[in-house]
Amino acid sequence: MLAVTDVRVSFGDLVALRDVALSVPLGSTTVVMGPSGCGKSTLLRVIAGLQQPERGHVDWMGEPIDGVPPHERGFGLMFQDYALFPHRSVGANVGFGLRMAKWDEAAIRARVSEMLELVGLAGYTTRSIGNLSGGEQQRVALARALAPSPRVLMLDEPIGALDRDLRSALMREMRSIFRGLELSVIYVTHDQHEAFGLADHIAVMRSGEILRTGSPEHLWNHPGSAFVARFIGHENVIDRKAAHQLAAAGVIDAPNPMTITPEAVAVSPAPTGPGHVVESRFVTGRYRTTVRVAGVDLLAAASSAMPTGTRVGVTISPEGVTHLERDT
Amino acid sequence: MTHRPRPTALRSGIALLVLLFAATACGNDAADTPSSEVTLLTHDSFAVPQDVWDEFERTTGIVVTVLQGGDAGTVVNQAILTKDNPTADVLFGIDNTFLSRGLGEDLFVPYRSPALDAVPDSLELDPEGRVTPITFGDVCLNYDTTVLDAATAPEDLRALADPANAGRLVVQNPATSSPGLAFLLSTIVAFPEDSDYPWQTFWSELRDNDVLITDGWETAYYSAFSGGAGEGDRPIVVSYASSPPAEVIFADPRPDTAPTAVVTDGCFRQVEFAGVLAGGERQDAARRLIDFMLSSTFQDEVALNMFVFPANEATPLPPEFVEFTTVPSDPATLSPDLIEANRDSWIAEWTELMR
Amino acid sequence: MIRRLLRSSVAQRAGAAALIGVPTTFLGYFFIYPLVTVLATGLVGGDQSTNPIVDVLGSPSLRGVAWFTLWQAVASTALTLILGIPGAYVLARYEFWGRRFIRAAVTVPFVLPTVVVGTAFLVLLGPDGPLGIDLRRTVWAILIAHVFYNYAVVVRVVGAFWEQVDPRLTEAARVLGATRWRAFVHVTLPLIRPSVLAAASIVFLFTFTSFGVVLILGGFGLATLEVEIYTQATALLDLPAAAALSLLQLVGIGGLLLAYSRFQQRATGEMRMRAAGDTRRRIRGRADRWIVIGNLLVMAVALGSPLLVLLIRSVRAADGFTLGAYTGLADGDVGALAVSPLAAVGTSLRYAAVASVIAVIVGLAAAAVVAYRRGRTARVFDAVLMLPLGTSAVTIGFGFLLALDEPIDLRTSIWLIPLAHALVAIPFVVRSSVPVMRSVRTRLREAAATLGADPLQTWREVDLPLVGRAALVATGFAFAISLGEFGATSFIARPGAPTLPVAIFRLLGQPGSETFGRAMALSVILMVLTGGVMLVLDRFRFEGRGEF
Repeated sequence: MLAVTDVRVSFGDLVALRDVALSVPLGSTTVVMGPSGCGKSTLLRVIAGLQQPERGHVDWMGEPIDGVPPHERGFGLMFQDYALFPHRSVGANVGFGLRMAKWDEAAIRARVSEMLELVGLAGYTTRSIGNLSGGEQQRVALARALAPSPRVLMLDEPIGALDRDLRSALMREMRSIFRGLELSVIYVTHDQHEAFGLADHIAVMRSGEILRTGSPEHLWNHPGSAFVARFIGHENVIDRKAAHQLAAAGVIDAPNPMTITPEAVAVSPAPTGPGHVVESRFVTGRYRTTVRVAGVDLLAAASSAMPTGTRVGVTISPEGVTHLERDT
Repeated sequence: MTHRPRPTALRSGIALLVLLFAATACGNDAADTPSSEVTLLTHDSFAVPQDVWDEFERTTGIVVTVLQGGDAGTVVNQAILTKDNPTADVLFGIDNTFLSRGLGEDLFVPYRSPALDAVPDSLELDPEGRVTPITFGDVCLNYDTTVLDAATAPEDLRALADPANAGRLVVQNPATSSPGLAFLLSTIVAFPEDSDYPWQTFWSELRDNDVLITDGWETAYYSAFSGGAGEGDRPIVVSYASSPPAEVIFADPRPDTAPTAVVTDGCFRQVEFAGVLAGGERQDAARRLIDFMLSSTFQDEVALNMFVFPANEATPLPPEFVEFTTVPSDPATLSPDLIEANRDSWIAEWTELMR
Repeated sequence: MIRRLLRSSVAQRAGAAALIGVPTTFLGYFFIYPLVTVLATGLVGGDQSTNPIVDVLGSPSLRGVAWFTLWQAVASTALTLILGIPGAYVLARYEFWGRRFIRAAVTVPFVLPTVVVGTAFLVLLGPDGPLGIDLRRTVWAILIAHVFYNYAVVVRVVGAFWEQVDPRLTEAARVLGATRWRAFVHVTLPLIRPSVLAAASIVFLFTFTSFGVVLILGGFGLATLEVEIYTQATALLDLPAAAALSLLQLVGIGGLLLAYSRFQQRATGEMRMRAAGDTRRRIRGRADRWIVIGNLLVMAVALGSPLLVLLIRSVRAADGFTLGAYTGLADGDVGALAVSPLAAVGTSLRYAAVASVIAVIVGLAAAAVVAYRRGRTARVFDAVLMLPLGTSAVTIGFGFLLALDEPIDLRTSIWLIPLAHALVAIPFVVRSSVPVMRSVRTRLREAAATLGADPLQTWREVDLPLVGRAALVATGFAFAISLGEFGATSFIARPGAPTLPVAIFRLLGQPGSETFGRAMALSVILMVLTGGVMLVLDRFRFEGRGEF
């Protein structure tokens, strides 16, 4: 088990990590998500030993490892821009960590082939880094990080730069690789789909702080704050102000922050209703209708389209409501 | 698992280079330890064949190490800088233009070699016997015999200022060249400062006569002089009395006559001395080395190796030195003290004049 | 775990100490100490009625000399850059037949003694030369010869950097509508600026302390501070004046170097580098062809013609051509040498080998200090490293003599010559390595660390290969400098056989067409040797393509 305790890092006036604590269970995937600039890459660098925290510490299996230099930690890190060595071939990049671990040549060669096959690049051994596509570079970087069997594998926005199709494909592959190898993974992203697609545990960060952690399901059901709820993909996040407006209009009972699933928002045409249709779009097999009621936009799942401007009545079914403790 | 270190190109390259040097350096160290040694400090123009030193070692058991360190001026300066802890036992190559400085700095301890009897008194310039003349040479005007002949060549220095010789002469800067300084000194002897025709007047006439000044002998001789191996267009150059024989000896095929000849008037004699360095630890060996440098074994070699004349009168000259040149009978000389006292101001005045 | 930690931190600290300790000790003992000793002896030793510094600074002719020294160096540097940068581009970016050969050949001028090159230029720049105008004994002759000598510095230092710059950056500018020229000025030039500055600083120092070229080609009346120092020290035996001039030279150069170093540090950032082989392309289209041909012509005229003159002279006979000069060298019975000229080849090669090893080890360590530690310490260190190039050879030579007698008397040791050569070569190693080292992205080092590479391994596996090209260039220069060095060498009292330049110089010290021919032949051998060594060095590869 890897534990980060009260870690603080600042760059001048900017506090990148504000007393961050995080524990990473072994053999599973922990996704750290947050908007860009929230400090998630810095957290990885602290764990990797590339960044010394001002205070706080990192423990591995109960022992502090703060003084251990990066190369002795046995933690793999895959960089956002891959950081592939331009002067080495694909094979030499992948085999780099093995050479550092003083494997013999034959074993390295076998392992490199195995890794390249794993990431779908069999036969790329002698290719030059300069001539790879973005997706291929990502796979080489992944293979390179995996090859030495790191105790913890950290990935910093590993597929952020790629197009969507490639991202989904790679996500699936990574999931099966992580599961298949029973890896301990820390995965950093700003994308909720990646997070929910890969995570056993999720930690949401903002401005150098971890706001909430938990399993995907738990997090989804108990986002705790409007910010987290919005960030992990809740579609109707009602903060306190909106709640007051909705309560005043009689749409909800109490003026408390909450999230409402689109399915729980029932919309019916009513000439004197409090709301009107702003937009109705056909997305993935059904209609998503935005209605404005009491100055608040709500997204509703609907089976049929409604013309823009239609006056509507809105009712919320309680089972689709999750209460939030905080606004932000 | 075992790890086979990957030999990188750089590492193997370095290893190769180190081995290369080590191999050869060991070779040098392998010589037997000699019974005794002596070190000779001299200038870059010094050269004698190895068998000369072998002979010295055979007769005396002393092994000579030759240190060469730049031109004569540099070597004298080196000796002065290290006089408290000398790098050598004997200095050879201090000439009459630098002699007083060396004596003034107490570089040498007196030693009168028995072999000095064979050396003309005129070459012995230190009455206290601290230095021993070993060789001498005359800095003389040389001319291209394909352009000029005995009749048309300048018969003396003064003729150089003659309009007929305009654009013909190339000399060296006395501030950077030893023959250049020697030539300036010979004009100072020929045209004394207090005469009606002082050297300053002569040189300003030379300047009006389009004299060419180069930094050193090499540029003057090879790039400005037209005679012999020179590629320039000026038929008169300041060089040495020994240059015409060299032009014959170092030519293939050998010519019957020399392509250059010497003007015997206005030559300046440079005498090169050897001295036992004060503070040297091997004074006895040093004295034996000086004796040896006046012996026929050594003296026989100086003409053809350094193109200077042996100080020992008994030394036979190579036939080329007899046939193709003339040793000036009455070369200019100046007392070393006078040179030392005035060298800087003469050079400075000359530089101002010619600029 | 604790023990491992302890061990690694001790090893790391030892490594860091060695990194800064090796160059500091070397320069301290073999440069600063002798320098301070000789200046102190000259300036405060002895019985001096007047202050030599005041005397020298008060002399009216000095101002002219100092001004000429400065402006000819600036002009030479500018001219060399203008001609050399396009040459660097062609050799870095295009793949064509003979590229390797040419890149090796441009280094050849670097090693040739000025007295030999001088004779060639006096023919080429004479009234009967190809230009048809008499440039002998003018400033132009000096500038042209300086380009001849320093072109290789620009081509190799800038070229080694340029070939790793990602061409896509310039292509991006072209796609955004920039002309070739604008793309060069606004994108490429800022990218290669660190290496251009590095090359410029070396060329400047070389030309600032120019000696033989100024004496031989400049003719009477033109003198640099270096010439004045030499004259004062060896012809007038006025050590105080020479020391005062040396001090002046050092102060001027030191100031310029500090300013340079500050600027250089700011100009250099990390960037994404590519393997050299990936950035070269074949010649396509008319524009490419003209660029390549144009530059090859410049090289042929500026560098090739003097070399050709030497080659022709070495085989010239009264009637036709002969190899007599070469066979004569093999016989070795040439007066004024007393050793076989071919033995001089061996001597020179050995010195060069040792000098380059010393220079590369000390230089790379020094470069790492300069590159990785920013701030004032690194800047001062950087400037001090360059000083040997800007210090008069007489001063260094005499400094050795005064300072190196204890504890081991090195003054007449056979090691002193390669040490002196290494001193001159170290600035090259530093200058050609620092820009590349600074450009290696921290990210790559971090990647290596997370893959289990300790700092030393990281340096070896990431920095060295990326910096390797530059280091090779530097090794080549170190080798070439040692082969051709005739400045400091000539002021050291040397035992043993002469080096090639000394042998050539001695041959030229005698009249006679045969000695002259042999001097030329020996020069040609020096040329071929240099070119050959450069070719061999160029063949070393660091890319590691296909290796594990």
